[in-house]
Amino acid sequence: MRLPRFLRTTSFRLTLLYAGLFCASVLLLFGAIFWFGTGYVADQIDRSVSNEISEISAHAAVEGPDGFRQTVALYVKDAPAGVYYLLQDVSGRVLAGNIPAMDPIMGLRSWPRRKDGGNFPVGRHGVRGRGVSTAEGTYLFVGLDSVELDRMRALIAKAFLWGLAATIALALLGGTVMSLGLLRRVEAISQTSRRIVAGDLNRRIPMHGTNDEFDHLAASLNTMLDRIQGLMEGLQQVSSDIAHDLRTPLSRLRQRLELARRRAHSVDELHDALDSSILDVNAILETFAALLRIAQIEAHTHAVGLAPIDLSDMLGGMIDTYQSVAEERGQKLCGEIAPGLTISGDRELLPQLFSNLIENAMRHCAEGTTIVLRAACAATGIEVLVSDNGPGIPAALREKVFQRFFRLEHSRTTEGTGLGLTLARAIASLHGATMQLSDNQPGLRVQTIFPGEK
Amino acid sequence: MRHAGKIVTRTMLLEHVWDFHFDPKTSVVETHISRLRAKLNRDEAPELIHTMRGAGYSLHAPS
Repeated sequence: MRLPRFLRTTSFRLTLLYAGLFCASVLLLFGAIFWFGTGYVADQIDRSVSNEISEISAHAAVEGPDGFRQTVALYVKDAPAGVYYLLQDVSGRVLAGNIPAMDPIMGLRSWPRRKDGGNFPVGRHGVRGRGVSTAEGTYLFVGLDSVELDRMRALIAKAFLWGLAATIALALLGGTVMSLGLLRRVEAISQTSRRIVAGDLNRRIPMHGTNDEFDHLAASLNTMLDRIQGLMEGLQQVSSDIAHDLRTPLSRLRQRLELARRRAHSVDELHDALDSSILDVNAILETFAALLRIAQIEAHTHAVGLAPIDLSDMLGGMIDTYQSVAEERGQKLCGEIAPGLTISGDRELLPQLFSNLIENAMRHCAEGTTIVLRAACAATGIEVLVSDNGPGIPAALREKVFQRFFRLEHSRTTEGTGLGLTLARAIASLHGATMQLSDNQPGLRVQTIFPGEK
Repeated sequence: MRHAGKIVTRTMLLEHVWDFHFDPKTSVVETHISRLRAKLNRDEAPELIHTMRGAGYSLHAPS
């Protein structure tokens, strides 16, 4: 037999356990109340009995010899219901009293309530009393109906049963409601994951906006799903990029080789064809390397192994490196680097970012252009600007140039993979930096803003 | 001088001189080598830096 689902949940099992514990504590509580409550009432009865005995003794002393018999007889005459007196001599003969003779036992005595009648105790209640030996050597017993005690016991037992029933009912009801509620939210999560497994990758776990543990769990899982989706999309992007954009150079290479095989008449011609083929292959390998690198960098959106880096120092080094290259090309490279700029960054990747930007400017600008590298502290972080006064990029295309393999028409003639800016932006986002292109009037300005060193 | 007489590749130069772990698109290495050469040859001294085609550069006295 299968239990209904909510009965098999952990929370319901916990509820049962708690219900058990609650019952135990109710039991203990009522046990204590019973013990102390009945103790108190019994004590009251015992006190009244003791008072009665002292009164009789005092009265008897005044009456003189045989005073006890007279006094007891007097008390019996006026006795209200439920008060019992007995005076008997050593041989067990009743001298006075309203109950039959008994064993002369000293001290506190009690009889439980009797259901079968009998001569003592009389009626439907138990009796508590005390036996003493008098100054005359006789045995005196005074007893009281313990009707209060019996009532108290019955009352506590009734209260206990009601309390227990209420506790069990509330615990079970609460547990059921709670486990149904929890179950619904867990069910939402598992339903979402089943949908995702079935292929609906855009599905996310609904949030309740209550900011409780389930919302936190849902948020964490959603973030994880976003991340997985991002990685998968990146992977798909890389595969389709490779499929689309490496096909052209590969077929060109194949054509060249076929042509060489058919047309080449001398070893020299073959060598030439081989040399150009090697160059083609190198370009293809370079594209491959860049694609893989971008994929690797994009896979680490979180700063892994970032360390404080003196950015001013690094940019100064870049200017030293590229100044002579620029001169050779008939261009000018100058720098305005504020001293002491520190960011947390990757020592291997950052030079590639700046080198890509500087080389982009050099390769896409004609002779005579000036390239400026600026770095300074800005309100939003540390700003690095690479600007030139070359042809620039039309506003509509400024976002597109960050896409893989996107190249402006006029740059088709220059060599390049079309991945330089993609890589630069990937490195920037690894550092939590933003990269934007704008008009330098004339020319292009690339703005990279790094978050300030914390 | 540590690599005197041995071939030093372009990649080795990039990594050790500039700390570049990638391949620049412009002639960074070539430009700096040619400047170095120009300085070394100022007094028509013998050629010390030799280009090994397809391999790299080597520093040694002319043989």
